[in-house]
Amino acid sequence: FLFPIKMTSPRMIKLTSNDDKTFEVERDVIKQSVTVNTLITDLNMDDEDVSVENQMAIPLPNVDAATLEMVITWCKQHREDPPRNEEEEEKKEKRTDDIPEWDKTFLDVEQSVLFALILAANYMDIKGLLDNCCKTVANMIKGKTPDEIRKHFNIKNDFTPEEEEQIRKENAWCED
Amino acid sequence: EMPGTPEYFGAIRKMKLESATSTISPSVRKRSAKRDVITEGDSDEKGISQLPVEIVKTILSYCTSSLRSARLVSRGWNALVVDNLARNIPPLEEISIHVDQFNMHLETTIPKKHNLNYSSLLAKTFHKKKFCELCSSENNTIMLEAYHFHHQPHHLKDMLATSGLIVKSVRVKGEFGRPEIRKICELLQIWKFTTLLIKSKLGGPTKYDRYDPEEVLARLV
Repeated sequence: FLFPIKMTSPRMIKLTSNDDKTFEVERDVIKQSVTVNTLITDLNMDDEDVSVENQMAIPLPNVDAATLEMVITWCKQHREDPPRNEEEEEKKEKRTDDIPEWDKTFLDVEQSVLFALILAANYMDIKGLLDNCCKTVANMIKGKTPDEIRKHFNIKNDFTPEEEEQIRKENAWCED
Repeated sequence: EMPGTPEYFGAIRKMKLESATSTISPSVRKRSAKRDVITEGDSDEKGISQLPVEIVKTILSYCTSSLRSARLVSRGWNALVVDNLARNIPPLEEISIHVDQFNMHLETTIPKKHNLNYSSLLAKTFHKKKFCELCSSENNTIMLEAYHFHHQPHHLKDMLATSGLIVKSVRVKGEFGRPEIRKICELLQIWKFTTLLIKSKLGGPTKYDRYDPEEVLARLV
């Protein structure tokens, strides 16, 4: 007996950036965003049998199109990742040498792009992306002198000489 | 749209979506988004200073070996590092209180590896001169404070910086009597400790596994 195999196309979700660009993304891909996932669930968007053309787009007022495109690319790359156990993540040793190679290359971007990505990951609540972005920034801080950190991130030194001296004294006591 | 029609439900959902994702006007949202950041520059460009405080704290939690450098970057960074360290202060093993008729001496030992966690707390607790002396000391046994009961009756004020500190055990000993006990009980309320050992000329050593100032007073006075 031969039965016709019904090919079901993956369910798509529409997302709109703050500059009014709409992206279609597979439901399974965007589930990594807790914010979007919660909206879809709360508004019963999974239940309705609506074609993607007629579907309402989820507005993301804090994310621009260029950043949203990067977020979607990251989510596609990580769609097969096992679900995160936040309790276990908390217990883990805080290290920055475990960023996957693909992410290292993906996050090798200008600072402003990386920070926009951090803000988007934070708003969309994508823990994996946020963690890897934070680790990338942490790697930029590690091993640098205060002056090098200031130069790298364009930060102004607003200490008075007395305040700086006091911290230096406290730091001296903490030296190994 | 007529109630009950698909268009009607679509309109309701659209309203819910809009309220869920943007309940406030863009101008207010921009203001509130800027409120919780380290304000070190007014540049509109997205920089580390424009990140929410919680994210900068997460970033700093990944570079514990560079926290001393991070403290010296700017006031904002110093405040974040100090706050982060203060939230993660490891418990002290013991605080010893030696009391006599006139003075109270508080002493503790901080493991060297925890110096960074305790440095800003101690800087707040000590007078500047004393902290400088401490910084030059090789020994990590620290005289937290020495009070003269009559000359410094408001001694507690200086120790308030250590309030909430977790201590495994507090040991009180000395030749003290009733007048000093109330002072000690006042001081003991600052910290959170699991064991209290009191030895005085009135008796002891007495071990308290749960500190109740009234109980201590009742047994000693």
